[in-house]
Amino acid sequence: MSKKEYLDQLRQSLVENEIPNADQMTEFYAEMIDDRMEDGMTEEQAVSTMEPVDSVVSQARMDMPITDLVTARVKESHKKAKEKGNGALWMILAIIGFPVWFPLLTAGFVVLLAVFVVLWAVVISLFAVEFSLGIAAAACLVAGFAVLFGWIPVAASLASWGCALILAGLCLLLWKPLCGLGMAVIRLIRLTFRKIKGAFAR
Amino acid sequence: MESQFRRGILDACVLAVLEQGESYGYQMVKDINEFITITESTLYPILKRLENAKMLTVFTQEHNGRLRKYYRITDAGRDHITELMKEWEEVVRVFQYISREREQRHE
Repeated sequence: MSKKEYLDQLRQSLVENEIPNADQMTEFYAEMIDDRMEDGMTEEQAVSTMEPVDSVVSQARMDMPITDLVTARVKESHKKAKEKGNGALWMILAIIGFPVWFPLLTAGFVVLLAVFVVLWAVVISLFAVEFSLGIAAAACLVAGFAVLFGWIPVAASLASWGCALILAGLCLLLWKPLCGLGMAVIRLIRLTFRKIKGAFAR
Repeated sequence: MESQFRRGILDACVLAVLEQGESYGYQMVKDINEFITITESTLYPILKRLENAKMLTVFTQEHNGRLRKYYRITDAGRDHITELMKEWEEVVRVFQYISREREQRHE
């Protein structure tokens, strides 16, 4: 394949997939081929060492915002239907099916949003537990000093300091596991988002 | 390698290469490939991202009768490397802890 053929194919594919700045990206790849040729490769060798167009486009799609990916997917579906001569049918089905697909799409979005909110709530509550243990330990420690003013008996003061020690111990003990769990949930959120995005980028 | 982790490392690699002096796409691919595999399709979004974050600047210069884009690191880019290095120390500590734990388990 010649440099021109590769770049034409790349540009066309980028435009078809609605990748922003297709021209800038094509220029970048043209420069890469030129640099390879300057490095001693022939034009054919230079092009053959370049990544396949599909792989470049798929990588570029992964960097697009998810809303653009969904829009591109819908347009792609319409275009394919048009190519098969079913463009009007696609449009009619999209309009007639609106009462079905729109609530389903909205429900799907709301479910996903709920999942994200729940996962974040888990992270926040984990840290709230840790924070409250720390606060409770400090409060028990301070409360124990009430014995100095004769507000509580010595036994109650000792019990309060005992509680403070237990709570502080729990706070320290749970710090690392809670941090680990929190990070794992954050990673899970990121992974889920990338998986969803990946499904549209394919 | 986990993709987010790899992405962070590649960002740092690009900035580290540019810290040694301004460079262009193909040269960066060659330099970084000595340590970690990188392709043009991976490099392009990294350069765009770093440019948008003002961690590098781009300028065009004539080279052998054609125009070539060169990339130069900014102060924000240098600061980012410093931050990454600090975070990296933490990663190394975690790595050492995991290695120790595994060694103890296998003994």
